[in-house]
Amino acid sequence: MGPQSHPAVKQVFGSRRIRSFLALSLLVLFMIFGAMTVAAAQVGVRGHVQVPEHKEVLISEEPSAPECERLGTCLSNEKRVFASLQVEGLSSNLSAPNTYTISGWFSLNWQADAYPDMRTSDLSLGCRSSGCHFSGWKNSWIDQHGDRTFWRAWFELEAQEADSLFSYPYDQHWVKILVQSSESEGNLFIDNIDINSFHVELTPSLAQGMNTNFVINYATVGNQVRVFSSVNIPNGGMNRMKYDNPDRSGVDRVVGGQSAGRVSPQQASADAMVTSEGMNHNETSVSFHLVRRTPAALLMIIIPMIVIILSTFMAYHWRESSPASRFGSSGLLTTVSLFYSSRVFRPDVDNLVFSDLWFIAVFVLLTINNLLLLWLFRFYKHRSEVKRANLPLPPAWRIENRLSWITAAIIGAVLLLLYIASLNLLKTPSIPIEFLAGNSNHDDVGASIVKVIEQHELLPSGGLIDIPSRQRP
Amino acid sequence: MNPYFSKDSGSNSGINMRQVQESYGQSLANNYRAILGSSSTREMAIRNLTRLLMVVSSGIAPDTLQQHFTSFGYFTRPSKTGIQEYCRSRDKFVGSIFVFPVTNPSNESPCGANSRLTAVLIGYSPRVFFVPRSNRFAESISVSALVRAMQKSGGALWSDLNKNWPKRRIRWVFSSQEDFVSEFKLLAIKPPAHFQLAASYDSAFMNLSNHPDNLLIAAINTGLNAKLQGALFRALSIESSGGSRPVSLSADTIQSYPPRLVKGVYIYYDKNQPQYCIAASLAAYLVKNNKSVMAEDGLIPLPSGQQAATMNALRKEFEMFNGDQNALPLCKAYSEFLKTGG
Repeated sequence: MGPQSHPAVKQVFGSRRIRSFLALSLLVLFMIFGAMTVAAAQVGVRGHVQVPEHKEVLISEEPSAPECERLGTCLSNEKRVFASLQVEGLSSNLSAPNTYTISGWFSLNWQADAYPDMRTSDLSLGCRSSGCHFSGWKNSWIDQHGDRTFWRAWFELEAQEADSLFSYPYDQHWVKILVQSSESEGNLFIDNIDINSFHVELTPSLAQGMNTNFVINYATVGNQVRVFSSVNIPNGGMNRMKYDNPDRSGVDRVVGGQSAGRVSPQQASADAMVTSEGMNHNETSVSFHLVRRTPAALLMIIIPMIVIILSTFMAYHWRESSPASRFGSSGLLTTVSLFYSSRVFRPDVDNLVFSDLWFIAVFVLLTINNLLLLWLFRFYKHRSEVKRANLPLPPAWRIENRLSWITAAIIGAVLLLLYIASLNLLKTPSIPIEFLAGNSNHDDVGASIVKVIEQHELLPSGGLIDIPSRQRP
Repeated sequence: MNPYFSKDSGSNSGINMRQVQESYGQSLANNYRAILGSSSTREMAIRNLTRLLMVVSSGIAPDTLQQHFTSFGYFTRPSKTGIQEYCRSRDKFVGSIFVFPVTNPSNESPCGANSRLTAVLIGYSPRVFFVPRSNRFAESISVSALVRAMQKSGGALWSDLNKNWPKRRIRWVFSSQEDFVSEFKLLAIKPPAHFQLAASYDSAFMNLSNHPDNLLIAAINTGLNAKLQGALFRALSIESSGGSRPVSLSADTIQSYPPRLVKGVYIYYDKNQPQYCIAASLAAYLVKNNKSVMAEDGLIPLPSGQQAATMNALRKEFEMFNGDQNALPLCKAYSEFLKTGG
């Protein structure tokens, strides 16, 4: 429904005479305004002449690089593809802890003339293991602005990793996404994705911790330098070429395990440069560094553990006719039942994880406590015999307190060890190895460049945030 | 903690944990290198590291490079704190690339007087004022007028800079990647009380055209990606006293630009670190191809005399790698490349 005019307004402006008057007034106003603008411009010119002459340093609008055409990396290079990844969800289920579900928006921006046969349906996302599942592009959107094509689509990827979960619940992981294509045109397209400007961003909900059970601390974007040892064999097969014994006079060329003569290092390199064209090994990859957000539910394991230890600890202060003998065994049984009930918070893996070590520590502490209680019972028996003989006795609380202190020291030491271990597990990845090993593309065949993106750069950066002036009291 | 999958494991989902760990263990024997740098120079550095590898690989057999060098990572830090981090953990990085005022004498020894840190100036990154294309009135800006205008309580108007400009408030836009408070202090400009903040340079430039009164100060090269992606903005010329005609900002005219707006792009490396020659190779590559690589990233190259002097010093430094059997293959190869007139 369109906006309805007020009847009074309709009455005033409805008259043809008034409408004509308004139109004429507007025309006159427009002419006066135009004349004033011209006058102002003239004043501006005169003003410019009148002020003392000054030097202006002009900034060139279009930087040019004479060599960039040859190197294929001009900023205005028509082949250059801009990409960005906006991640909306990144989660993993404890029943399948090595499967990560990643969803979000993938955007590309390229010059339409440069890729006339480009079909975005040929593009897909993958991961390092073939067990991953890409559900295809959804809600895709394509638009043309000037000579550039803008494409954006929603994706969901189930990435398979085979990582160790020993550090759970302080585990850290790298999850890698590969941008790949099934067609040669797409390969060229992917090859030209500019990793320098590849933008990776988390949606506001993900940055606030929704849709994920991880904190995303870093991302890396990598691509491979095309200088690798693969050659196109004339009979059509693609084979790996290896250069043995490189020295100044030349290198031995080995193709498919057979010697293929001796060539100069320059020739060997040229082979690799020339024949790397068309190879399907230039994926662009994005990796995320994840640190598990320790679930609050774990408190329901830690708190009962502490209560069990404190309860058995109290047993020292119960006297001869006490139920202290049952504290140790009931503590052990309670811990066993707690262990089984806590398995819902444990990843489904067939090896020990760090939270299992907490239980082992509790079992060990309870066993030590039982042994000390056993000794205490025998001590009490010894005291009653001494009492019967009317011999002088030191008060019993001294030994009870001493036991309490010894146990407290043991518990403290165990907790300190666990704390140090936790801090160690939560350490940020070491530079450069833990950032680059596994995140570089095809590490075994050559050099690559990886851009490391810090957490603050991953935060949503869509619009401008208005920072108001500080209110003075 | 950090799993590694080889190329083969990628096609074999049935690989077991032990094989994965073995494969990861093998990958740890590879050489990984890191360089620390400012976000404003990241693109230039990454692009030219790639080229350096291509140049080097053209001089040696590919496998030689592969066995000694695998992957290069660029880690970002703000210049001010990043140089301190580099000083603390020089063994982790082959070198660093930061942007500092050329007038700052502390550039000489950022890690302390006794440190043997080498700083190579590779280009200039002047600070520039940007306005949206929809701003039809402003062509140039005077820093002294801006200093005066910003003293006004309640914020500066465009008409405070030039009486012929509209009496509308200047809407400042900053990128959180830029230390704009220090930038303003350096220019003796009172920082505005009310401004708009963008999370990144790209975001600042992409959003600049939201309002014709927006004004952004940023390094000259930080808006290139946004421009290529369709952002509509333009740079304002800088007015300075003296002179009679506009000059284009270039290596030869950089001296005419207000010195407080000029920053130098420096590569730092410590010659006591065994991997420093990689940073030195990058510095040599960037100085040798200075005009083209700087212009490509929107930076201002060194004046030709300064470029030649820096290159001569670097060539002398590279002579020592020629006969050194322990030098890294990448450095030896680049040294060979330079020697043969490359």
